[in-house]
Amino acid sequence: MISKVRMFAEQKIDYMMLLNRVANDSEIKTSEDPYWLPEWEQIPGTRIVADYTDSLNSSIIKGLTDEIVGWIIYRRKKDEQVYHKVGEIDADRFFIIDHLVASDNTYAWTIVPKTETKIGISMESEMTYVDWEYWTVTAIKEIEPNVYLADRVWQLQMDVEAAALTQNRNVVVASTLSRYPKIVVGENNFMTQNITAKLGRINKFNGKLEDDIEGLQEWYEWIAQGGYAIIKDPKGHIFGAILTDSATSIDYRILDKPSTVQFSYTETFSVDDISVYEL
Amino acid sequence: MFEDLPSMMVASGVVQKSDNNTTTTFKIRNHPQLEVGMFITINFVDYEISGYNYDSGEVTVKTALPAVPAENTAYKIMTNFIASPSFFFRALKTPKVTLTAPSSLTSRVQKFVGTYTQEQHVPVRYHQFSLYAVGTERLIITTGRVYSSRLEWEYDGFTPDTTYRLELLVESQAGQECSDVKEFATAYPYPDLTAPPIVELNEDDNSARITWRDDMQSVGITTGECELVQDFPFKGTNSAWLKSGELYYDQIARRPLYVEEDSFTVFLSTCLADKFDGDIIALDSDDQEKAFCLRLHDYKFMYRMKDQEKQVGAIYDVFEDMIGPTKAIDDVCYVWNNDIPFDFKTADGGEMYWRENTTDLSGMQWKFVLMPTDCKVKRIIYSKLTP
Repeated sequence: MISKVRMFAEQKIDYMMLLNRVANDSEIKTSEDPYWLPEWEQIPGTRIVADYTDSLNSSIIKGLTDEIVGWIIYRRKKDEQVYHKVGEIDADRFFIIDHLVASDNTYAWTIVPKTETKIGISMESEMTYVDWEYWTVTAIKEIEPNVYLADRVWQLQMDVEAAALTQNRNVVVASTLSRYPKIVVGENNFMTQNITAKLGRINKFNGKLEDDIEGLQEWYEWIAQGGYAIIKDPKGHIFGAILTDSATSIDYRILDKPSTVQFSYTETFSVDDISVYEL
Repeated sequence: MFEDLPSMMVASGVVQKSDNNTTTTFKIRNHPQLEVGMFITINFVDYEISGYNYDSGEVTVKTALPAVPAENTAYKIMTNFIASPSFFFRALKTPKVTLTAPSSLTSRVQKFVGTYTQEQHVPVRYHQFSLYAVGTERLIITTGRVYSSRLEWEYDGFTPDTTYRLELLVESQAGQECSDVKEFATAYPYPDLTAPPIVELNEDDNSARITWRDDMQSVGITTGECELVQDFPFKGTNSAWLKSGELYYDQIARRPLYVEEDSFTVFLSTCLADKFDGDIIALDSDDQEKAFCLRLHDYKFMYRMKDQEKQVGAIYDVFEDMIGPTKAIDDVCYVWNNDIPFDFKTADGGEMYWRENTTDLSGMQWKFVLMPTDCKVKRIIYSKLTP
């Protein structure tokens, strides 16, 4: 195997291009044009294109002069210029799964190569419209301040009954002797709700409900560990919450013994300032 | 301290003898603590004092007494306020802080420095940097109160295409606040979207999977001196001038560079220094017997393929009409320049060769195509090309 390409002193190198195959006559003929410059995608099998435009490095991304040490991924909503950080991952990974994606929204994701010093050049995806059909409860695990890994996702597909979504404020109305009462408004502003749903999942192929004891035990364990969750509904809400209580009922009369969970959640943190992803 | 009625007694005494006593001005004892605004009570009536001569003891009241007070008439000095002892203090000048920030950023990491001045040298109590996103006014990050006079802060995380506002707040030891604000935008080269990220929505867990292509970056490493030369070999293109040592590539996308020895092509365009004689490019292999190397020796290009070396075939100019005196030249493999006179000798058996010791190689550009079994070479003299 060829493991290194070396060029030696006392020359001014215009370009060096390496393919992992033997070029055909047509490609060689094309390269003989005095003003021909190699480009990525121009010839199949290209591995190195060092054209020395900005640096000694070979890179598909033009203008990137520093070595990539990682990738930073951002998300933004359509018609907004606020970039929310999805995550920051190592250079040898080329995908990320973003869990802070709300229904009925249009997003674009931007990838920024992270180098030692430079910002890097961003590459933005097409705008993508998101429309979720079901509720999800995503168990999260904090790996560093404001950065969470999506540990487990329960999609609530059947018999979902959502009670009223309550917006909790801290407003005290005190009667006085004057015409109007005295109002004291606190900073509180959070949501609470009760949900009831089947915990299992419908198999796409045979339409059967998949609801095993392992899934329930994971649910119990996670609730016991604190129950930190991201709650997404089909309307487009997305809350950072804690499950404050949970009750499970199992219908033993049915062969599959489907389990129904009834839980309450309380919004405890904003999802604007956190990242929740999966690698 | 103040109250409505003059109930606090400051001093007392009797009216002193004086020929100048009147119903509004009369002499009393010396009372250093007496102040204008206090009251003098004579015969149970309070008279507000409007003047007092501390040297002579003459007191003046606002309202006249019914008669000139007789000598030895008892009086009390009463007051409804207490004044603290007088003291001096200096008013402090307002401090000033200046924040230094560039108008646009290209670095992800940036250090900011502030300067604080206060004429009376009141030191800094604390400072606080706060970074906002302009437009949404969202607070991105704040240092909180930093109890230090070293007004420096570094932020690693600037993103492209964003306008930021940075605020530096300083409070002095005397409690005076001052601040400075700077706005700047992040700039970056125009993105070359050869491979934009791909988004796949996963409806099983309401998430989005974002995939992007590896950059396939190869870092050029030099062991000697190398610099970029602009507009060479022609305007609009740059070259790497390798003055000493080597320039090599041994990885792609942070993984080792592995290409089969019997399945590769290298396109190399280079300008060799005058009187160049030595290795031009080498392809190292795990098995050194399978390595490749192109070199120029005695004005001939030699190509070593695996374990054998051969002379590179005929050198062609890029345009046929520049080749010179016809076909014979196609068959020789010497580096030459047909602008310069050369010796032509016929060896025994009719073989021809060219001796071109005076050719300046630095005026020529060479295009090589290296393959597992062959090496092709073309010569370009840009000065001869029609732009």
